[in-house]
Amino acid sequence: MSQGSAPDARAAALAERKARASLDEVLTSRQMVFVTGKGGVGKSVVSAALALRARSLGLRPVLFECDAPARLSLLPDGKPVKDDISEVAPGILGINQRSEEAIRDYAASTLPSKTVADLLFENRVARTFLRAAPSVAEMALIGRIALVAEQYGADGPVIVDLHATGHAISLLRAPAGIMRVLQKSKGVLWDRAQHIEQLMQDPTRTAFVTVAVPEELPVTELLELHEQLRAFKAPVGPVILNGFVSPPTSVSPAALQALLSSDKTALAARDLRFLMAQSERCIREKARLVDGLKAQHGEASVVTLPARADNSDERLAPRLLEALQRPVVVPPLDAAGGNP
Amino acid sequence: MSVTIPPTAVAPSPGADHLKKILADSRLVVCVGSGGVGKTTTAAALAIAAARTGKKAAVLTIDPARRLAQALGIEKMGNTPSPLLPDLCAPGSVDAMMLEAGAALDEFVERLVPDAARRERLFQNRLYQVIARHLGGTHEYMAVERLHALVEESGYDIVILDTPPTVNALDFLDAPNRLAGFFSEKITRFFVAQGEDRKKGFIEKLRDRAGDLALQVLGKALGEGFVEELTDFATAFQGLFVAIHDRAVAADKILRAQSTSFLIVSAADPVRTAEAEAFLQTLDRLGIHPRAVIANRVHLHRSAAGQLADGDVEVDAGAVMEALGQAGLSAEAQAAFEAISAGQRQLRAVRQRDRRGLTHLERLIGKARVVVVSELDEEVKDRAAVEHFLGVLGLARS
Repeated sequence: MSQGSAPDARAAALAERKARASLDEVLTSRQMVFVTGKGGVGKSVVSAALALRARSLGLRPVLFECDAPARLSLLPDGKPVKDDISEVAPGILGINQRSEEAIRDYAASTLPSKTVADLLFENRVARTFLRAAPSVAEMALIGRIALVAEQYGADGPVIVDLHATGHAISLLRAPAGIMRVLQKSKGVLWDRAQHIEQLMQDPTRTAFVTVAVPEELPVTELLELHEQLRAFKAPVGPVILNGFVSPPTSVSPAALQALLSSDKTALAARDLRFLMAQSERCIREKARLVDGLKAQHGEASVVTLPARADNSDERLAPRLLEALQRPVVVPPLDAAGGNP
Repeated sequence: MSVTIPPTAVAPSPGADHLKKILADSRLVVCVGSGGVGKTTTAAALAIAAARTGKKAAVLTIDPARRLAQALGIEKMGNTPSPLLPDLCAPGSVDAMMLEAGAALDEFVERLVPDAARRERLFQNRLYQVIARHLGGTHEYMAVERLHALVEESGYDIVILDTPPTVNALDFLDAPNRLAGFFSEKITRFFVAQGEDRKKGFIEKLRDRAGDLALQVLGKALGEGFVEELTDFATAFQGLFVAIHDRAVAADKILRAQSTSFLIVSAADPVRTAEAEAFLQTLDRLGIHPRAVIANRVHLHRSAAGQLADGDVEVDAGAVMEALGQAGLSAEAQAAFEAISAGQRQLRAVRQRDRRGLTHLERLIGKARVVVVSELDEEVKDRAAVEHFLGVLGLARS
């Protein structure tokens, strides 16, 4: 198993410390923090943990969910996130944005008056068009996020729990798409789309935090996502590598083989091998992620969070916060130099 | 030295016969579920399972993230069918396809618009280009169209459909209705001149209805250029609207047909089982009743005979001493026993969690309808994962 040499361990610990500082900087200084990654990597739990971290930094974050299924709160002492903005845990605001409502809200905020917006929605043709046209729902959602950020962003970041990779990208492409369609004559929607596109590309106001687990497909997808984000000129924050399995106490290959071959110890030995293989996979995939990011950006900022097995949802996010706040132990220089 | 791992025995899961029956009597199997539960691999394994009973199967993914090719080790996969290895599928066959929205829309238009000049004008339309390539939503629309063609016209015995995770999967189910709504007769008449109105375009009609404030506002908010673009688009699409509407209705019929089965793919952790429950409820509201749950990546150990078992694996120090003693490694026995015990402790929490999750899934749909697939330490893309799944169904190749 590759434990790496002592200087490597020291470099890894320093990189981890730097990545966490960068994550804190993002939470402290940006209005919109988009959390995205492949489905199933724990985006919602990571978003909740980021909200907890922002709160402990003295901020008042907004947890922004998009068409989230009804579920219990992921926050300790939390209430379910509702369709309207409300306090979902002490010091944390939350909203679950329905795309249908986003379309209506967005139109209302874009048009000269609420009466005009209502008139528009009462027209069946206009309403159907707005609902069914493939760009409008995405644009409305992004518009809504920007509005919430304008309103609450000064007190803390709006942490947006986006959908799976592919759909996050279509969401981000929406303003450019709208502007392309409207390029002949620039109406209210064109202006708004341009404003939102600029906002999303502004590194002083926005960051994209990507999440992966140390498995082949999620890491590959994250690296592809980063290329797309760069093409989009989106400001990229640190990557969060979730579900890192810590190495088990290991045994020599010869001993493992002997244990696997005996009927009485085979099952337990299989479990041990399972853990060793998982840990090796985590180390390998993290290295691939770091190398891939370095190849793209020249540097890699990765925050590593441990695998967790909890029986209740509301303990997952606090566990991640705990891990996030646990000091990173950096091996001293002397030990590094003295090791063979 | 590399460690040789003896093959694991896998006894068929309680729900195996039920799932095989579903594969035998369905023409379309739709897999829905959250992200990260191994849905794509499951869809591929189901297609292979059907092929091993002699069927001509197809597996289709509509996920914009391109996973299936990687999962199956196919170099390049696109709109055209790529056959999986014959020795994996015999006596039947499996074709894998991925939907590329832009190409699919072009292909669809080519079929419906025989006139090349008219077709070219449509391809040049900015609105069309944006809809086809740059914006979200079309995946679902075109997936429905593709599905219709595959199930009705392509000669496959069974089609397995992999859907995107949660929110988008439900969009997909609703896509035919939304599409039918968008291209409904009323909308069509609004855009496309018909009967004695034939000479009048959208703009004229808009002017005729000058009293309609809402329409004026729409034109103003979207910009007049956009309205013209829309008119072009609508004119180019003239005649297509009805065809699209009809196909959307037909596709909705396919999703609701007797020969269509829905499966929920889940893992056993609390977040995923809660999502599986939410899926069941949402599908229920749509009048769709999933026939089975596939519980993937479950961390329960298997007995020597391959049966799932609860609790830790019992190991006593004596057995470890004996095994290592025979190999001449007695000196490592104490350390090895400690490592094995620590490993069991590390796995205990996750096993307890998955047992609870599995019980939750069994309560949702009945134990005989849950198929349990173990978490493997290999990557899910590996052929080993597919073979394990087939073992769970009792269809493994020896």
